Amino acid sequence: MGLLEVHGVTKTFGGITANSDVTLDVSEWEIVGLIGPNGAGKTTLFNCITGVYPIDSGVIRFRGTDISDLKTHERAELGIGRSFQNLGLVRGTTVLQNLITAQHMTVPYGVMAGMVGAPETYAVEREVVGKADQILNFTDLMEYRNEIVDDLPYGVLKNVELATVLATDPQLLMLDEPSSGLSPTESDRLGDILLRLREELGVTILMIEHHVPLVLRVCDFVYVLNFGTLLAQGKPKEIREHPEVIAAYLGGETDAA
Amino acid sequence: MTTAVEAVEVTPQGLIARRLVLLGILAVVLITPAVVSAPSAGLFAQAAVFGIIGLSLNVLMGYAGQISLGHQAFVGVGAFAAAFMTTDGGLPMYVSIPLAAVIGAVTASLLGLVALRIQGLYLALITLAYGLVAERSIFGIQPLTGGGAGKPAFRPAPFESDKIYAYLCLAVLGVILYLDWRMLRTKFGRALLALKSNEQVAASFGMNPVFYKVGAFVLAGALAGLGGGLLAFRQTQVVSQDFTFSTALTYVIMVVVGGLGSRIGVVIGSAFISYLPFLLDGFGRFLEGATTIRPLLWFGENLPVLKIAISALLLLLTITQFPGGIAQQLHPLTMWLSGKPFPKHEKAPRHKKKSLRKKGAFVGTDVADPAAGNGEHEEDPTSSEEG
Repeated sequence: MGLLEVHGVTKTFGGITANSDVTLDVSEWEIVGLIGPNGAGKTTLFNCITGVYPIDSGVIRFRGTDISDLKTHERAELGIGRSFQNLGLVRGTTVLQNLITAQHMTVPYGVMAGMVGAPETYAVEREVVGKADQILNFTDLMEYRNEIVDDLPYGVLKNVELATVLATDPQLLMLDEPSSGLSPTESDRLGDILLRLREELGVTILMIEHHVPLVLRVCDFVYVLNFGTLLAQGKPKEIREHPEVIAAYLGGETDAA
Repeated sequence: MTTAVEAVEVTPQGLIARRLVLLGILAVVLITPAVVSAPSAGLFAQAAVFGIIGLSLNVLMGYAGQISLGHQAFVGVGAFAAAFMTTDGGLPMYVSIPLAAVIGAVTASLLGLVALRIQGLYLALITLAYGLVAERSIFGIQPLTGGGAGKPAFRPAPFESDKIYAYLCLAVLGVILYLDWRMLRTKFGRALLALKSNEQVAASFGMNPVFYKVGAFVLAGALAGLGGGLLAFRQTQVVSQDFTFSTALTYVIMVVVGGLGSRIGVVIGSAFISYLPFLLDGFGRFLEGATTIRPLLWFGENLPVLKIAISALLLLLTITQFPGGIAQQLHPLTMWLSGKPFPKHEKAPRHKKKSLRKKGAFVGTDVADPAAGNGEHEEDPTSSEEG
């Protein structure tokens, strides 16, 4: 059974069809790539899956249950974590505070208990900081622990954001262009981290990515979107040689084989 | 960032010195109502109440990124409700003030539900309208507000003394400061900050935007109602002219000038604005005695009238020069006092923020720029002393 099943999803904005009858599957332990030229509807699909946009038709299932009508935060509670194209971080706070904030769902006490400073909250807060530190170590970001995020360069922030999403303890990690703004070496390191995530934490990943070497290295399967529809799917190597995909990216004509 | 500023390490002696200075400041605040005259103690009580009202608005504007230009309505509803319940309903003061907080929370929750649908400028307009409507309708109900003459609210036995009442207000402010501190360092406060930064991001962390937005309004309304109740018994006569739109503006100014998002800055800013008319009064009298220069004399006579102009000027200076307000100015001092290594030459972080914003590195924008200072005053949760 697939972890995430997107079946026949269509999403229009006014007269513009952003996603048309898109179907894709992500199984547990898989790293799946979602590629396509700019404006192909990749981020829209992410927003449909996470519940930012309601879908017009189709079904989205997570672990077999239909989540199409759930709110974003309810889907997050089921274990869908995501990153954003323009950084999903809390401004004006430190890297550590971001990782603490992201653990919202695993903090068991109520808001009132926290406000009055109930004794059990102190122990929980210590645990939360401990887990944040673990993640910072894992993602190699310890040196930025107490920096205000607004002061950090974009490349670092991309990694901080990944760490933040990890702090939400997701089963499905949805990454929107995780390597944008990273140097080739940095995106190599990102590849290492992604593979280790699967090995050590058993996280499933669905990622929008343009950086071909990274896709070839980490992805088990790739879906290609073009003009809102699924153009191709297959192993990364097949996709690289796929004539229609090449045409879509280079903007050329092709005789559909 | 760390390359530009040099962090200073703290020696044990330095830590003791800091603790002593902190204790000294606390002692001055605690002793003041006892040693000053009764009317001055009354002003002190008022400043403490303004601090509570400032913290109330800070929950919305500083933490949750919402705006309220009708905050005088919540304070006024609290004040009239408390006065009515005690004078007409016969409830004791210590029951009617907490009830005023509950009533404030209920009225504010209505506005919270509105805030779910609209944001930014339109929300500002709705809150403004809300305040004006309350002014014309609720505050015009004769039996509740006593019409133009106002509603009396007399204090019971031990609190008749302005000094003892000042201590009551100070104690309540202390409790609110504690709650505010714990809130910001736990679940609720973090959710509010996340929500202010970006609602989609907050939702992706599993935070229910509806719950936390309405929650912010409920909390702010409760604090405003509480402040209103305390204010009623401070003045012993609640008059509806005290809760007009210009009052709402004063509240916004004191929070922004104090420093959005910083509880200490907000309390200092609020106390300052609360004292401002009396300071100006005193300055005017001083000028009268000290000089015969005509323009200066004229200036002195008209100072109280210029109160609004001065507040507006302060607001302008804050927004353009020191977006973190008083809190930003005091930041090196507060860092020093809290016994942490502090950067010797603090640079206003807003320049960096600006450049980052230009690049569009962050999604979403704020209503008002709630500042550089935000969050920095928060000790990082690991270095806490309470272990």
